[in-house]
Amino acid sequence: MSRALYTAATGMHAQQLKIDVIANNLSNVNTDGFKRSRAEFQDLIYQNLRTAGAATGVDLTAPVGVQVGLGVRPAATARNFEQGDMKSTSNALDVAIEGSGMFQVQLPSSETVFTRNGSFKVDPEGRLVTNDGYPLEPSIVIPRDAVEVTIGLDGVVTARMDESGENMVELGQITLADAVNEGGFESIGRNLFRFVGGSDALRVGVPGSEGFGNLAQGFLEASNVKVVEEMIAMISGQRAYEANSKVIQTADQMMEETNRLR
Amino acid sequence: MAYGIYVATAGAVARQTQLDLVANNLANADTAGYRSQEVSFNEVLHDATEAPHRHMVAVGENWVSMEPGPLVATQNPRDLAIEGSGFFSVSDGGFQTLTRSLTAQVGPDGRLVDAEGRTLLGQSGPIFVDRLAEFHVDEGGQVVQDGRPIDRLRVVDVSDPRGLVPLGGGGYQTSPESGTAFRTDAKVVQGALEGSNVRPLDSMIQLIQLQRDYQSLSRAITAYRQADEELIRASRG
Repeated sequence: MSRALYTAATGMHAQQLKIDVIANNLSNVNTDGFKRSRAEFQDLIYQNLRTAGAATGVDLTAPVGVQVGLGVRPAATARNFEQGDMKSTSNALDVAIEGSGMFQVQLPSSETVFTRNGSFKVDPEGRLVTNDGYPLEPSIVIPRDAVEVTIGLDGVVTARMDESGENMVELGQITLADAVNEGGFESIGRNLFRFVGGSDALRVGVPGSEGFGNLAQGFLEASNVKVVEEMIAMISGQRAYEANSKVIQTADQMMEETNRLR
Repeated sequence: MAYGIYVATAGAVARQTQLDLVANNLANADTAGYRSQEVSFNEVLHDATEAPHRHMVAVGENWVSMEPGPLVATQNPRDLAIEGSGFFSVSDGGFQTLTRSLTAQVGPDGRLVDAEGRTLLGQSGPIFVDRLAEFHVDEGGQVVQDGRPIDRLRVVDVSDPRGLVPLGGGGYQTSPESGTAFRTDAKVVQGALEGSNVRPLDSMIQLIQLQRDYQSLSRAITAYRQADEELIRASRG
């Protein structure tokens, strides 16, 4: 009897998870470089009430069994790496990637992690760092007396050292990383991703070549959350939650009916 | 004892099984690739020696509804679904499992797997790709890398999909009733997953109907019991 109760409970849990994921997407609707996620579900195991092929009489077998499923479980929260909108910031150290690839950033633990948020700053040592102070990898140091910094489409960083523009210094090359298996990028917060798909599946290269996107200086990539889509998912999640709660009510009323049979 | 009480009880038990099935359908109203489970009731002739014959009801069989679910666009080009009938073949621990839609990924050893880690099957076993190059799957199910065809996804169908046995995780297994899987051609859709084909409205109506049936049957059980009570009281004088 209580099977339906527990089945409906798995349904409500699943919808709750879906709303949790939507809530996180919506709260990051203005987070630069954010990539939205989607909760995916799978049907749970099945219980055989009568197995197909079981004997039902002399020389007779049941052609089709009776199988009752026991609900649903979350399968994955899939991240969508679709390009976000580009927004102009006119800040020389804001860099967006047009296409595939991620900036490589070094954590204090010297682990390399990845981000799509190219809002860089300069730390006291002159290095290009993220908002949290993590240096870009490979490291790029901007001289104190640089007048203007240019980041090319291909990731070459150049500094103009005087007003006339005669003294140009090449500071380094920004490289990007990507992987065919985007699912291998795991969020670790602060707009950062860690790659868990095996380091040999990771590809590093120069922007604008081998399928890597170009860099756009003075731009940031906005969050790729689409508010309307999230709203619709929220409505459908809420209604599905309601439908499952109706099943619990029905099961409860049937049990009540049973108890009244005394 | 009046025999009818057993008939009513059998009916009530069958409604409980039906509730379990409806609960599972509604719990999976949002599960990609899920196909709703339908049930039929069988009349069981319990005692043919007496007239009038007494008929009981039992859950006869259930089957997988083969009405296609809606295609839900996901913008991930490696989310694959099948238009019309047919199934992708994946290998789960050596067993061929059928599934309606999947997300193709590159596994650690370069073979294509789905989100569950099941190996995608090509024309002759697993499909191996270059782990560092992009790949895509075209409409005919051909896996293409660097403009070069690698292998074609194995798309199969069975003579009676209603007889497929659900395994959970969106997977199905063939049964004697469904017939063995044969290879076929189907149009593969990229960037979409097949949504659940559960229709919440139908499920809600079933829910109301079965609850009311259950109520009537339990009233009948009560009526039989009261009749028995009356009989006992009358026979005592």
